[in-house]
Amino acid sequence: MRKFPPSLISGPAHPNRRRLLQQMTALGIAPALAGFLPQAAFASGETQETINATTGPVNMLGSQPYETQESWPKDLAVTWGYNSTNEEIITKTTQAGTFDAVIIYQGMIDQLRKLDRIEPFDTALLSNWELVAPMFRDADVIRRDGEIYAIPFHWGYGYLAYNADFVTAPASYEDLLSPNLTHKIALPDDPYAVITTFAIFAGAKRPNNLTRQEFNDTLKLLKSFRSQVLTIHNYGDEIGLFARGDIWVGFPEYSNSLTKTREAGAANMQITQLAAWSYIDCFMMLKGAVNKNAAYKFINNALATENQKLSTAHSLAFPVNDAAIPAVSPDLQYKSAEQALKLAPMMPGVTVETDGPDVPFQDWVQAWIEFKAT
Amino acid sequence: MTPAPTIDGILTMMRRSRQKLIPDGAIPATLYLFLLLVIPLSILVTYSFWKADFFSVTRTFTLENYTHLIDSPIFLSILLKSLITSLIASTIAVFIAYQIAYAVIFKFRVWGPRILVLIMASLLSSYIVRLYALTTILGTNGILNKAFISLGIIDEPLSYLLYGYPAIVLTLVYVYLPMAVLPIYAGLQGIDRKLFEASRDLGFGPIRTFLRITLPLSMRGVRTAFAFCFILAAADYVAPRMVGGLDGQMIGSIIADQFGGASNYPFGATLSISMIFGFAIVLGGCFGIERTIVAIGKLPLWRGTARYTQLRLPNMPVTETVTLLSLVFLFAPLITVFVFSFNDTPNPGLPFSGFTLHWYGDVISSPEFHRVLKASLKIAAIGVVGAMALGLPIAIVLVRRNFYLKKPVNLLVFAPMAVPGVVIGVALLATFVTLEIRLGLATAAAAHVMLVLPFVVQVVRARLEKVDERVEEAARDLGSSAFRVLRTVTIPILLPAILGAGMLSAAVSLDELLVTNFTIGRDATIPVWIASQMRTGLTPALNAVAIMMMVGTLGMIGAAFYLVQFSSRKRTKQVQRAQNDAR
Repeated sequence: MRKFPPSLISGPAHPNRRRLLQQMTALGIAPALAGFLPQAAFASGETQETINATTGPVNMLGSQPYETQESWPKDLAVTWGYNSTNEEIITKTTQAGTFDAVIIYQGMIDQLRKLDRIEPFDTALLSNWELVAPMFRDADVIRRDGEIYAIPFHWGYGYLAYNADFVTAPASYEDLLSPNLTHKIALPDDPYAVITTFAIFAGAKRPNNLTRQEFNDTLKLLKSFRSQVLTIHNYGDEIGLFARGDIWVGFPEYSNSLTKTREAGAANMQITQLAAWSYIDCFMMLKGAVNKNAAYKFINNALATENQKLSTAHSLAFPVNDAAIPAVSPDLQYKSAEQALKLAPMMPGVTVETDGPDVPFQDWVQAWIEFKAT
Repeated sequence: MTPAPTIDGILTMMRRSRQKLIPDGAIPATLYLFLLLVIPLSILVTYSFWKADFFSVTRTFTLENYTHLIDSPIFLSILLKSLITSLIASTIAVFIAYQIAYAVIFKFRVWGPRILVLIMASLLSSYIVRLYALTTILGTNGILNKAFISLGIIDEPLSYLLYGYPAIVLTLVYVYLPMAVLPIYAGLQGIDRKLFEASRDLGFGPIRTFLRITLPLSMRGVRTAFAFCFILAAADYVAPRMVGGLDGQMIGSIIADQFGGASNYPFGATLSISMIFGFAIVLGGCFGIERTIVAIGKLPLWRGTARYTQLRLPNMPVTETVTLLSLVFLFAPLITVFVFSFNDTPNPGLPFSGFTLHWYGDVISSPEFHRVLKASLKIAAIGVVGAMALGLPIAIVLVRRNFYLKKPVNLLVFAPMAVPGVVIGVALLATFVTLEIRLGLATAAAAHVMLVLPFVVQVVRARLEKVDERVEEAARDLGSSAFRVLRTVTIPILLPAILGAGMLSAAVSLDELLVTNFTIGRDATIPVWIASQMRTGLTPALNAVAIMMMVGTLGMIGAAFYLVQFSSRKRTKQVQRAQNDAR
């Protein structure tokens, strides 16, 4: 297993970009260069100290599980807007200045960049950046053109959940085709999640980067699976579906659904890593943010160990700060994110460019709509 | 040669010459609807002729979206499926609603109004929570299956109760039945009882009386109820998705997807317009069939069957039984919501694991709930007051005045009900963003004024149509000014309808999700908050929210009725005192 030096996890004992910027600011070099820097140059006039001293309003857009009020900075007046589906991010960020930052999975970076909605971060302003586990901090999936567009907040993996009272653990795709499971399986209404999973089942090597042939094969597999599916549900509905005994298998499911489904009465719920893959829920800074400093402060605060523990306990998602792992639900405990990620590889997100070799996300969405409508 | 003018013709011409294009009372509401509905929808229509790129639109004229729709059997078939499902559900809902309204007016006598209030009260809690409760009742291990198994009626759970067309139709009937009752009730209440006496005096039996008097005179209410139900059910995609399984994908869902994840506004606009055309075709067809049936009914070939229509049926309480069963049907999910708000597990449905009050405590102490409650109440208050201010004058004008633009204005007033919420939401979002109007409580409240306006107009108008205009004329003849007539005669007569309209509007506003979600910006109302909570699964806390919403609204209704009765008694006493003094 790949080992990371403890210093990378525990704190900034080595020279880094933040320290370099601080020294440059002190020498007056950074302000002089500010005019030549790209968008992240917003940060050139700011320091960790000015960010930490910020008070006042901040407007965040996120889902309810991440609304952990007890972990928020007390001197910020946080207004929390809700997105009940991932796609709502697109409509809710239409008007610049409504929100300062959003929380969404890393796969939305390209869509939001294409819409010119987000801007890169200056991680030098985040004193807790070094607390983020290196496999997230250094991940390519949060970067575009060498700049960081997403600050990891929590992560998780999509796994296959089954009720062991009725079925044994499915070990392969063929097991899912058992007549016993006809109309006893549910899929979430999420083209990204479902097509990624079926791309894995179809044997695609890069399940987010599908050639046209791979994409067609994946859709063929998905359509042939239709007879097994009882319903396509909204996230959250799977808990009731399992608890009522309407379904016995669901995929991809996430960390919160296992715990909550057990609590809801399906006590013998289990999971397998069949066709599992990972995602990172990230902060993204919106262009035109009115309270950018406050948003930086909010984000920095969310990465601190104690606050990661609080949001982990509340959301049941996994922390990006490994020191908060003890707060993970006992059902899903792991030793390190690196180890857990081996079971469920991180996905980069689907391209939105139409002139490349990979099928763009817009085709994924239309194919999914047509699958549902058929 | 031109015929000599008759006196009637001259009077008609004189009346016409005094007709305005549009009376002053109708101008504010018309302007408001023009700004918040016609312009945004025009923008949306324009979108349907633009070319879509991913997350962007090329503003060049194209018919590509329409050819794509015509070439895609999937989209056409789902449109057809939605229309047919809705047609079946609304037919059943109107059939049941007619019996309920009939029983409320003609059978239950003093209990009638109370039953009507109960039926309307079933609307007063969260739509999503009620639907979830329905799944708790109908699920594989749901209440109904468990009851059947424990009674020995079945050995295995019935799997078809949920997830399929029967479940979709049942749920749509459940959701829209109360809305169908109100217009039919208004239609039946307006029938002059002397006509029934006349019918009996002429020796007609109950069937003939019903077919010749009751049904024709209540057809306007039936048509309104059918149109409401049909349009709302065809555009509904939340209910079919929750209970319909793979069959639960409806055209509304596809439209929402185009405006959401697919970000294909032009095609979404094309689908929306096609859906509205679909509504027009189906409703036109239905009303055409109705006219044909009426025409056939008048043909002489039925004369020989007159003796059958004079039959007297055994006095069986059919409509009363249907009404009571409907109450059970409407209240079973609410009772489930109530019972499971005390469930000591995080699941809002079965199994029930013990009694607790902590969900209520959690909700009451939640600062987020306080925030969304305040936002909901503010928006509902502005929505109701705004709709009253715009709706009362236009309702009076539509009943009492003739004007050239009466038909278009009438259509415009009811347009917010005919256009699916998701379409209005997206159209308003595009308009507010284009005009750089900051999204928030104000924009959401402005949208709510428009959304509840048809409810206010419909209820007030139904009442006003039954008020004898000569009462107002008498007041004017006695020297009262127009304002005094309004204040002392018209408004007091309309007061129960105004209160009813206010309550109905508040209920609609408090439970509105689709339009609010697009127009509220960073704020949130209770339905928006509940929808966000669904992401991690509903909890009994949301049952508690639904119950508190219902109790709160019923409390308001109770207080309002008490105030009306109080003011009515006070007024009666004043009149009696004045009469005594005169003596």
